[in-house]
Amino acid sequence: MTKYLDEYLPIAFLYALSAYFWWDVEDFTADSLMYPRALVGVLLVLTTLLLVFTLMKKMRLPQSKDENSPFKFCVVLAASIVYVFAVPFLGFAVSSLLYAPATALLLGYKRKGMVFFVSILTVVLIYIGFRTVLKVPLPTVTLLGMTL
Amino acid sequence: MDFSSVFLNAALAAVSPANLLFCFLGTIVGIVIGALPGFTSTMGVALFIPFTYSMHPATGLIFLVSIYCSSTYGGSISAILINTPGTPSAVITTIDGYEMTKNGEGGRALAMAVFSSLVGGIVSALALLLIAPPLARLVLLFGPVEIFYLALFGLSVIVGFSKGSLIKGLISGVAGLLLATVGVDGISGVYRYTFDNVSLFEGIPIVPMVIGLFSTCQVFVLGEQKRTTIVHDIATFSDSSVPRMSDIKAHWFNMLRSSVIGTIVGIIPAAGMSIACAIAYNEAKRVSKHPEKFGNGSVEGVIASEAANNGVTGGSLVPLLTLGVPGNTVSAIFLGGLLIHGLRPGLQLFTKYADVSYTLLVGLFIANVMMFVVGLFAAKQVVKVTKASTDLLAPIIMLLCVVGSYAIRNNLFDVGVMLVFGIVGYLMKRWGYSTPSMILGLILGPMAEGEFRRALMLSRGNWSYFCSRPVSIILLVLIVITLVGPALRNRRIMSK
Repeated sequence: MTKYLDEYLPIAFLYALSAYFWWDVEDFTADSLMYPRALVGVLLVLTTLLLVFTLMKKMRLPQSKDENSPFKFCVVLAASIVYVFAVPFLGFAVSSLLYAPATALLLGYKRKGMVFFVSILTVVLIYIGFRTVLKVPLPTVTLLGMTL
Repeated sequence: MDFSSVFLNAALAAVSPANLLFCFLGTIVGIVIGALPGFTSTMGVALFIPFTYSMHPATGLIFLVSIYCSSTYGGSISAILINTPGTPSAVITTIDGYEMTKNGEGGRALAMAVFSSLVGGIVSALALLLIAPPLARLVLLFGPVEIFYLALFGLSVIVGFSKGSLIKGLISGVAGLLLATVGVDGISGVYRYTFDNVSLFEGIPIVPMVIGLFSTCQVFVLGEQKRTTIVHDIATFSDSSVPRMSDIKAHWFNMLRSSVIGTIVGIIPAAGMSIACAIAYNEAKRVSKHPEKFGNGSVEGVIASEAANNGVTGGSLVPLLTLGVPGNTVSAIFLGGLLIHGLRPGLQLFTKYADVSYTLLVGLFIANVMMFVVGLFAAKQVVKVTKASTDLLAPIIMLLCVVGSYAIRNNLFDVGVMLVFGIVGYLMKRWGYSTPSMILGLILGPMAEGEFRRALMLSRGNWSYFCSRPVSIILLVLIVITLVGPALRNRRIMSK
């Protein structure tokens, strides 16, 4: 089942992408429409060729050398999504200090002291490097009168 | 201003404290990234492009070029000490490097690896300095059709030489070109595929996409692995890791020849480091007095491979800086680094922005010397990072991805773009699509479309204009050869 999904899901996705770029062109002038339409045409031809080769079993999926854990993948993906959504509300420092140790521990890292030390050190270095040295602002939030 | 005064000013700028500091930091970062198996030079440069945004362009580019050079060398450390090439370019170093370590000559192998890398890097930097400025004048011969073809040639080079299926490579490249049409159309002013989102008016932001496809994707790859460390055993050695004069005297010609091979191969778009190393290694073995030692711990093999792969670094920047055609994946990403500073490859880079480009060229020499000094003292320590847990590395890299994608426009939308393309990159890797082709499609897309439409306007819709000049026909033939050549070669190898 997974193999079929890996083979046909990208093809379905490519057809969907082509369809979107073909039809969402309401306000386009003829001049601005020609180039993307030409590209969509090329993409459709290539995707159809890919579909034919896949049906003829002439395409091979890459083999990973590593043994992977679907559970760990779900953990790192979910944690990263939550982290990205948390940054605007908690600021970079707070959300990073929650995300990094929590993800490492959920992935199975055992040394709790080390994980907190490395996380704090990284956040402090990034904070100093960006805000002080490079003068680049980071997403912040005001908590208890402190801008973090 | 004449060349000598431009060059002198550039040399003085290159040795300013800020440039030296960032060159040093780039070297350390590069060596660590290079030494970590699974972390490539491409990922290193992609992750640190945003750090350069607020820097002076020359400083930022020196920082990136330091990461490029030293990560190329860094791969040899793990190749020699843990029998695992840190980067794909160090695969051939592993053959003799690890054997030398097993024979109790790990220090000697590391010493000659770093010295050969220095020689390779210096030779390629010299070639870049001498070849790039005159080659950039070639662009003056090009009209819109030729520039359109040049953009397609750059893309075809990466597509043609990408691993796996040609169709998937082409699909990735075309998808990149299509994504490049998002945003306000530069010619007609029409808003295309923007969902009325202000953050998309300028198009899909390149840097967050690069970080997503190369670095965030790696977070997911590292996170899902069942094994928690990259390596368990690091070989020890007791001999000195300082280059010996006797080795340098005995193998100077091998070093020089391999550096020149690396540089020439680097200049040929997409020929790549692995090919350079293979040719240099083969040549060293062919002319060696002791070919039987190759594969059993020959220092000549380590020298050939390391001089060649660092020879590629400067060589690959020649077509990039002059014609906008990246020599390999890292230089394709490096193109993104140029663009965020408002610099475009071509003649202007060596005239209007001569101060920046010549400072970068001088910086390349300094980066190589810095790599030698740091490599000499730190190799033994750096290899310990390969013992770091991937469970810890993954979230730490994610922090850098978030901060890097936010830094360019201070826009949280870009962080979302990074995450989306991280997932897309992971799926592309799993399904065998080429992420560098997609990136290059996005980077070269606006140029390709602009010149294509300009050519059509100039010719008043006459399509024969696209094949009316010898230069355009040559470029068209090159595009076809680059796309079809590797596929035919692979088919021939398979049938054998």
